[in-house]
Amino acid sequence: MKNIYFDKYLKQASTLPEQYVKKVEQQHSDEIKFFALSDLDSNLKLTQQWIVLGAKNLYSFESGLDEVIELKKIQQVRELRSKVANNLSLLDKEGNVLTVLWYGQRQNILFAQLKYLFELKIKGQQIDLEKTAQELYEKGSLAPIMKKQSGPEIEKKKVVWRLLSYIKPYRKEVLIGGIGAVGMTMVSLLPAYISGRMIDNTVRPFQDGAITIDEAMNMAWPVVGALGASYVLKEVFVWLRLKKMSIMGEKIARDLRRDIYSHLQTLEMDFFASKQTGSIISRVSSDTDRIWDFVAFGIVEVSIAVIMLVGLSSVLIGMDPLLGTIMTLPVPLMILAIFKHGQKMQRMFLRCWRKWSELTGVLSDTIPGIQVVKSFNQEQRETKRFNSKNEKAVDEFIGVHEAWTKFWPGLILSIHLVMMSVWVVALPRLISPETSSTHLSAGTFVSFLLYMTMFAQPIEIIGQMARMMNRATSSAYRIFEILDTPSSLKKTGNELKHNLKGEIEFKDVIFSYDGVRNVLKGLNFKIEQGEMIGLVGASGGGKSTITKLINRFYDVTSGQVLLDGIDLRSLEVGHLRKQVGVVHQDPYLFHGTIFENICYGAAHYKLEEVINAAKVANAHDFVLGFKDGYDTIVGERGQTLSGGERQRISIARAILNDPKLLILDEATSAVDTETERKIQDALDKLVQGRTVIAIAHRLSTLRKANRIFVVKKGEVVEVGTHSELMAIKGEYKKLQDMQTEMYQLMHGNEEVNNGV
Amino acid sequence: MEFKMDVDHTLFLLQQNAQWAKVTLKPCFPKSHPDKYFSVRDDKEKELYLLDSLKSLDEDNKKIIEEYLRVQSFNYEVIGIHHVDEEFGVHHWEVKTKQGDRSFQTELDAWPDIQADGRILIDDLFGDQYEIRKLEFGHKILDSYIE
Repeated sequence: MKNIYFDKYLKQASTLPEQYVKKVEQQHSDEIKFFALSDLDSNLKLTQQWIVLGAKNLYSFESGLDEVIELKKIQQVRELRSKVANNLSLLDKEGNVLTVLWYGQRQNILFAQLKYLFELKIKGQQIDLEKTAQELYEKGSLAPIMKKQSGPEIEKKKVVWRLLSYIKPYRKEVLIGGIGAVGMTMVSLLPAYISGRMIDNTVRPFQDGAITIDEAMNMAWPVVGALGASYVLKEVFVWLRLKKMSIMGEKIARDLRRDIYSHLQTLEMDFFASKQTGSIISRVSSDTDRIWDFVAFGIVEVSIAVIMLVGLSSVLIGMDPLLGTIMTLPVPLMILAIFKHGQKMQRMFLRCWRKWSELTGVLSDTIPGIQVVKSFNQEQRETKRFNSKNEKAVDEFIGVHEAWTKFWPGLILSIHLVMMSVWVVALPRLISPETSSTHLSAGTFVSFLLYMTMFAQPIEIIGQMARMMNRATSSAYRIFEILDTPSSLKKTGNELKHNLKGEIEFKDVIFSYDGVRNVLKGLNFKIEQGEMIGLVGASGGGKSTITKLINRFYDVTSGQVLLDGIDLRSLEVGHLRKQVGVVHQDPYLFHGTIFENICYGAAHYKLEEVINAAKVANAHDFVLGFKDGYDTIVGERGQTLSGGERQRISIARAILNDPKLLILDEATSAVDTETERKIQDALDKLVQGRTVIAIAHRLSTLRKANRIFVVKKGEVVEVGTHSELMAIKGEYKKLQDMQTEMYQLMHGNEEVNNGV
Repeated sequence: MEFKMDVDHTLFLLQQNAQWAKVTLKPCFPKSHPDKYFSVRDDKEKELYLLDSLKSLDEDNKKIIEEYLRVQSFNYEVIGIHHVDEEFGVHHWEVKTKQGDRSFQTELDAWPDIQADGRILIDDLFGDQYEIRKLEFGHKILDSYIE
């Protein structure tokens, strides 16, 4: 499976070639720790040079050009980063460059790891990797692709079959709908036949005087009755087909929506970070709707059209082989034209989709940010931007409509040309004497004419269906993309449901969001049960990432996060998260009552418990200020409440959940001083008896912390109490001084002494 | 301002104390105005100077910086497109570049970025960048992605 990725996508070997393994292990008696592929040379041409890190040496192999450098000679490692071309240069003690390894972004993860390993080696540490060199190579090479897709071996045509697999549970409906479709097709062939027979057996003999008017009428009435019955029967079949198939289509769309939504809930934060909200929403809504359209009508219409074409061709050839052949011979050409047209439409739909995603991108960009738009009085600009994208999207859709509306009349015209040819051939035979061997009876020709008019319809439907099918496969594609995305968290199914005590340990934790830049660089710390830890440091340093790892929103890139001495990865995620409370800077409230929002996470709390939690969170009084009290509906994202009120609701939520670990992520930074006091008071009650990790920019809020960790560029650079850290005059002191300075500027010296 | 560059394209700036300090030079507008505004930054990412263009440098230093920027702004130049397939979650491109044949993948929702000067930039899943100035073949394939 992974070889497919290497062969097809990367076009590079899936492992270190055997001859190089032998060279390292046999010629140099060395052990391979790590290997990577350099894809650029110093002239910035594409190349494939293998870089192998052994226990003793560094090797580079490139078509016969081998280079070996003793690791002990490497005393410095220098990295050059650019848009695409990067390099690692290895230097000796004197700063002389020993070698320069060039690589593109594709090899970034592996070279970032290689750099890290060199740095360890230079520091005199052992290279002790948890994974084999092959595992690291595979993961490092494929991570971005694996993140985006999971099934490159699935061909496009299989999408339709996969979509059809959703029909399986509805075999009964399909059977009844199918009977309706076949019945309708067969019955619709009858009127033309009956009409022809009536002309030949009743009308012509009467006109020729072969039968009397009474005989003619006696013969005609049952035939007219049969005609009427066939029309009624046809509509019964139509009703059967439409009812069963449209309901089935609706059920299939429901099943798809259910599957996508429940699968979305299993996906982790990295998936949502990599996709636009609008794109995910449209997959659940409009894409499933298109599939309903396709299943309910598309599949049936195409099936009927095919049955009709086969049936008509058989009947026409059976009635008159020559005329039947003239009529049916061009059909394969027409189908080919439809196929080619479908390919063109596919390209056009791609463009439509591009323009459509630009349009929805504007929506998902501006609607959540509407407050900013209004604050900057940019409504007109945004309207203009939306209109421009709207126009472009419509232009593309118009292009699509122009293409298919041009094609379709052309196709119908060619059918009519074929019909004209039939007339040309049939006319001499129609007017020939009845005794002639090639004579064509009027009744047969009338039947033929009626059948010919029916010929256009199925071809037309197939033409239209190509368009509908293209749209449906594109939609199915987008849906299956989500369904095929596995959760990024590895789960074995044997995870423990451990009741946390509250001890946290980070052991050599390295973490990278993008697989390239290490946000956390080998963190080591231990937090005792019941401790309150403050995390401080500049934005982007890795503070929030630490808390996300504890909540297992992401797995560590390497190293371990231990809770009560147990590796986080062996704990059941849901059970773990229930025991970890998080109070965010901007808490999210769902549309619903205040009561429901406080209870979010568990529905069976007593009213009294909720009220008590709200009281502890200093929320009870303001809640009762609302006319509907706890039954007050808060709007989408809780917009009817102020920031401080939302914050206290979220604290009440955390209190109610009674977490063993509590994470306070800038919980008081977005509110005024008075509100902050109320929140701080609520938090003080909340933190008692729990292990707490509090991220704060306002250092004054961390005075009660047992220890403060200063996090800078992915590392904990200082640890201690407030006074200890002030005494060492390092990063913490700098931050404190900066805040004091800032506060002085804003409030004057007097308040500084009191407030900070 | 006096620069020197090592074999690995590490850039150094001569400081007032006559010591060479490792610096980087970052274009402020690498896509829209690649020839304007460059930030000279020390190894702590602190800006030392902001150059509005390279014209203010003497010829020797200008050459050094141009060579440095050649690597910094390097991307794969696509000269032909064999095919682009839509596959689960990605568009898969098979192209010919000035640097050799290459295949790469882009996100389904990520489209080529057309610059004001007509250049087309495509970023792949790994962050590698591809630039199209003039194609020898594959125009029709590209049309669906840029028109």
